[in-house]
Amino acid sequence: MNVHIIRPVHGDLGPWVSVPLMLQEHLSELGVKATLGTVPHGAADINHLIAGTAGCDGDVDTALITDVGSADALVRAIALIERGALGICLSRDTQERLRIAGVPPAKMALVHPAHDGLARPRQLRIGVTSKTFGDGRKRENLLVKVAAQLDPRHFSFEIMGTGWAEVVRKIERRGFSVLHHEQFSLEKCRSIVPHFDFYLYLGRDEGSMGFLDALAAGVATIVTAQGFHLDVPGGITWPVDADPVREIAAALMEANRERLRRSAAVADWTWPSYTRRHLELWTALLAEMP
Amino acid sequence: MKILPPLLHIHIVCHDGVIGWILEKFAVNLARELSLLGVRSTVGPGADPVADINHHIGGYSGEQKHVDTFMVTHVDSLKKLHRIRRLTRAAGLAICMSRETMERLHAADVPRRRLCFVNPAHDGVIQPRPLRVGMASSSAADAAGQAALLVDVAAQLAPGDFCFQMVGPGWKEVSSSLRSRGFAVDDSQREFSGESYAKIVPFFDLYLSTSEGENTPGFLEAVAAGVPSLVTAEGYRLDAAGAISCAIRADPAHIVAALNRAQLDRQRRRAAVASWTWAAYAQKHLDIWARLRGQPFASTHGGPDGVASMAEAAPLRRRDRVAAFAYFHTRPLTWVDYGWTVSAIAGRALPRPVRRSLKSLVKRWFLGR
Repeated sequence: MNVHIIRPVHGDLGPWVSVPLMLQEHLSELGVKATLGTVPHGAADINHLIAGTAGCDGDVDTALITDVGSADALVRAIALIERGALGICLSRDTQERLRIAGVPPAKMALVHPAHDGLARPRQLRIGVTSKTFGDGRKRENLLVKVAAQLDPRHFSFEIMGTGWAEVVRKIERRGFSVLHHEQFSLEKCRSIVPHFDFYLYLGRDEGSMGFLDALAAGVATIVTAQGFHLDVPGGITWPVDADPVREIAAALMEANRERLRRSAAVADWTWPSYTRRHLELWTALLAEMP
Repeated sequence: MKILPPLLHIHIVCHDGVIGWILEKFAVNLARELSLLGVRSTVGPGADPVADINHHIGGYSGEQKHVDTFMVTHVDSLKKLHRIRRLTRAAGLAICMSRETMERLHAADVPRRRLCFVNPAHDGVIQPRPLRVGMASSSAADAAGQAALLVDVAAQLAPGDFCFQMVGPGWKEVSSSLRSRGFAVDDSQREFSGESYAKIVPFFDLYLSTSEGENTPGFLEAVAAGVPSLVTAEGYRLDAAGAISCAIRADPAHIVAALNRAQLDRQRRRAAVASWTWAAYAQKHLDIWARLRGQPFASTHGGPDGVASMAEAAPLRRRDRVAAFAYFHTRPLTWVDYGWTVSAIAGRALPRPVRRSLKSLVKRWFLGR
């Protein structure tokens, strides 16, 4: 198949400026010869127009249709389709607008746009601000067990306080990024606590002053349900009680789930997928041609 | 209006064991705030026999003299429980740090009239960071289209609550306008590139686009990065199930409401501890001491702690007693605690004379008396 991608000389392609190049690149990767131009090419099997809101003088086989909210854009899109092009819409919404304007469904197709796949969810930062004690009252070793339940791609740790070196070493060995501030400093606290996604406290010694700091900074808390933690109305976002490791891991995963679900909504909206879908449409179109 | 007890001299006994620890901060801050309330306050390692009130922080050994009140926290062993019982028997009032500890001590047979609680305080110096609102435009014209709306929106927001990061060309004027209103603005990324998106977009707290139609660069990247989006519900954005966190209209009031909703949880958390200040901490103590001395006081903080917690409690339930017994007898941290635990558990099953002998033996073995 020989695909010729047409982009306008004049007119603003807007956010779709990279589409012709990306489509050409991925078609080439699939072994399809793809060329770029500003007018249709007679020798091409498929002339595909990516014009954004701009039009095209010659006839094309397929055209990207987007943003038909204005009367001008709608008229241009309908004109293209009436001249024989298959309108490849970016959304069902656009398809529906064209259908209402009288375009037959057979003259339209749907291919969702693509993203570069480079932006990924950042790591959620779990903050700890307490020093450990020899009697183990802060239950710091639980943090290692919690880390074992988590994915280092999604979470990182920031710890302020003495006595965490061994725990930090163990967590880092599991692939987590850990920022450890050995010495407590109020100034440092002011700068780091507001950037925590969660404040975590494992101890069962009536409460953590860091818990109050975290709340003052509006940070969500995962803390033991004990002591004065219980006296702050709505202060505990996720309580830790009888089964700390399971409870903490469950809270963190629940908090992360929404982000992952959102990210998954466009996980397959990639350039390879975008290109393959076009190729399927063009193959079907060529098969129908006399 | 607060009624201060007259001629009160509060002496805070800061025991050696707490110097350099968080409890020393309690002593220092309490003394400072009492002074600001017009009360003479001193801090020292030992009791002051001429002070009106000796309030002990840390190291509550049962042998202390001049114990009017003492701070109680982290009661996790029988040894500490025993000391608290002894101190309260000697007329001291135990000021716990939480309702839970107060109720647990009551269930463990510390007289309720000798118990109350005052929640701790925070320094009030840590503020929430502003939420980062990210925007992107593909062209100067598009940015200009959104700019006027954004300026209207910003006029109704607090600069401490939000900051803005723009990607793309054409934001210069709106950035200046937002900065002049006190907002932090980063518009240094004028060009689009996959790399810039990958570095910037995941750190947005919210992605905002007031553009209508399908011309919303950055939306897909924001969604791919898991960033909540506030966008108009149009075009392909509707096809990515769950990708729109909040559908907005190009109406300033609607957008302001959506942005404020996004930080509601943060505000609630902050409000929950807004009154947990050192000033309130000192006032609550002052009210307690005034009441102890039969002086007039006015509780102005309105919380459940402080004087309010000195009220008579409901009768103890058997299950509270069992829970307190289990708590103190199943937390052996030292050999002394372990000895108490064994004796207490074994003691319950033995006849009274044997129990007495066992108790005396345990005292001699583990406490040396």
